[in-house]
Amino acid sequence: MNLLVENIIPSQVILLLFVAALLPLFSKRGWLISFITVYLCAFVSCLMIFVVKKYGYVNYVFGKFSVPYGIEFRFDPLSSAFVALVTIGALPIMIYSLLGTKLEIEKKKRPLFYSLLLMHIAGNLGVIIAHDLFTIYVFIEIASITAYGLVAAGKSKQATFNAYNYLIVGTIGASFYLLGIGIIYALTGTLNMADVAKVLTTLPPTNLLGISYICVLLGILLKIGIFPFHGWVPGVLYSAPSTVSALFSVASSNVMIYLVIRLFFDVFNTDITSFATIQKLLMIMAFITVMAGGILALIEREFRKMLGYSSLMNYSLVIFAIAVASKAAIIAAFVMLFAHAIAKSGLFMSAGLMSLRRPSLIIEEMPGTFAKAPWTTTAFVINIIALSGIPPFINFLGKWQLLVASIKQDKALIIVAITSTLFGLLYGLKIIDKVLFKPEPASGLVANSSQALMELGIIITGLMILAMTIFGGFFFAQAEMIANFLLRTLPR
Amino acid sequence: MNYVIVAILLVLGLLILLTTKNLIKKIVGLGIFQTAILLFYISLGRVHGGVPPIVEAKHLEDQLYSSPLPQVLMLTAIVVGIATFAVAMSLVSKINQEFGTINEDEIHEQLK
Repeated sequence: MNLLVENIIPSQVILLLFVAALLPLFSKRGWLISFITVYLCAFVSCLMIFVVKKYGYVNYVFGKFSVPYGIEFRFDPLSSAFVALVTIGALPIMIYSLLGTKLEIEKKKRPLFYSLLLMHIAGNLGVIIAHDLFTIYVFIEIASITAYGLVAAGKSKQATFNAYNYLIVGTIGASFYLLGIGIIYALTGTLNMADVAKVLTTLPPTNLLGISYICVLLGILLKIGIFPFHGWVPGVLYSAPSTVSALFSVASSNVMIYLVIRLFFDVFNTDITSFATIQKLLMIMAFITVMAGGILALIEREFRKMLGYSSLMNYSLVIFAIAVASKAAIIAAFVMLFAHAIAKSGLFMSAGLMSLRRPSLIIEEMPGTFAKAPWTTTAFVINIIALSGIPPFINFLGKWQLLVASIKQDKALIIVAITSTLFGLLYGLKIIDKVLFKPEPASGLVANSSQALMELGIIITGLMILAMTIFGGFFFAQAEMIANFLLRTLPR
Repeated sequence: MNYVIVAILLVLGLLILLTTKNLIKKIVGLGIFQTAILLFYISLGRVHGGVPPIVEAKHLEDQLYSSPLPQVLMLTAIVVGIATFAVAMSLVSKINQEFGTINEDEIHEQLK
């Protein structure tokens, strides 16, 4: 492995944090600088996909301490895919944010807002790249503390209160994670993930080990908002600035799901009984959340809160498919996760555009969208269709794959797959019916020339969904590669 | 002994978080919860009969040393805790400006 590749590995996180620290000094060019930074990160993550394909995995050890003692950053098929999702998914959001922040954030606070935005992305990338349990905790907290600030930047009165609730739940979650890795550290004497997994195979499965697994997973699932701790999710996504809600659907919860996947397959799979127990636990929690999220999304009348509940449903569907741990189910999970992230960020941006006209987006009273912006409306419809899993877009292919997988597997998966598809179908059709087939589409997504850049962000997400569908073969091949990578160490 | 105190503080912190309606008292509960975890880590580093891990000239081969790593980790965790605390307090002060109260029930009442 040559020197250049090695030094590229931590470059994204360092670049983002460095620029974020300096950004408040440049009050005028805040957007341009942060856009270029995110663009560079996206470029690097594309590069890393090819590097990982060539070398298998690449790592960087800080300060030349050898691996179990030093802090390690590592790119492997799993982390490079998630880094690509976060950075490339953030690009259309950055384009949108030029005008989005102009309308939602005071001028004085804009450089600080961009600074927090970059720090949030840096924290999320750090969680994905770091291969050390405690470093991951620090990056989780970097991502969350900036997230609280970003949510509190919302215009409405509730924003501060929702940010406070988010802070309480998020800090409890992170603290449980810290407690769990403390017990793991006490048992194994190491914090490097690969090393922990190696030492754990030599230990007998004890109750204490089980408690540590539960603490860690509970902490992470709290931050995803698994039922019955879901109360904060819709409020946060509703009252945050639209740029931030869009970024959250690409970054924060997806990254927590990455952590579940990483720990579940690479660290906690030491013996067959504890693996099976965690599998059952994840399945039960995800099953309940799929049901609760779907029902709540159906009865919710506010558009953005509905999107929040539908996010919950989709995330727990992904967790369920991951917990099944068969190759077909994992492929389905990845396809659904990636398609959902892009489509959901596009929908939150559309919601931001629509809320320029009216602050609250009750679905029945939403403006018809076919008015004067045909391209944006098309992108909006593509995103809705892709979200709800109606053919022909990529999420349908993911759900089809899940159904195929479930027929070979157990009955619970069939129930989850079919009910979640039904829920998705119902609320997707409800939106399309209420928004698209308005008798008189008087106002709507108005095409002012000043909003062209905001619309560009939404159109790009629509194009991304189209590209994912057209190049579905490539996409599925990538997902299959990750699935093979994950299943390599499964206890049998 | 330390671990008993850790358990008591953990439960106490969670109890305060769940029962109180005052937003500042909730942050205090959160602080107790985090401090319990700090204490847990620091207790991990203690080795019975160990001395502080400083290598001296008359270095003995069979000398036991306490582990310094948990303390170093907790320095970072303390910083994180302070940052969270500061953000939470500033949020509460902004809530007080906007709603005129820091009681959770009264805020819910106003948001209806």
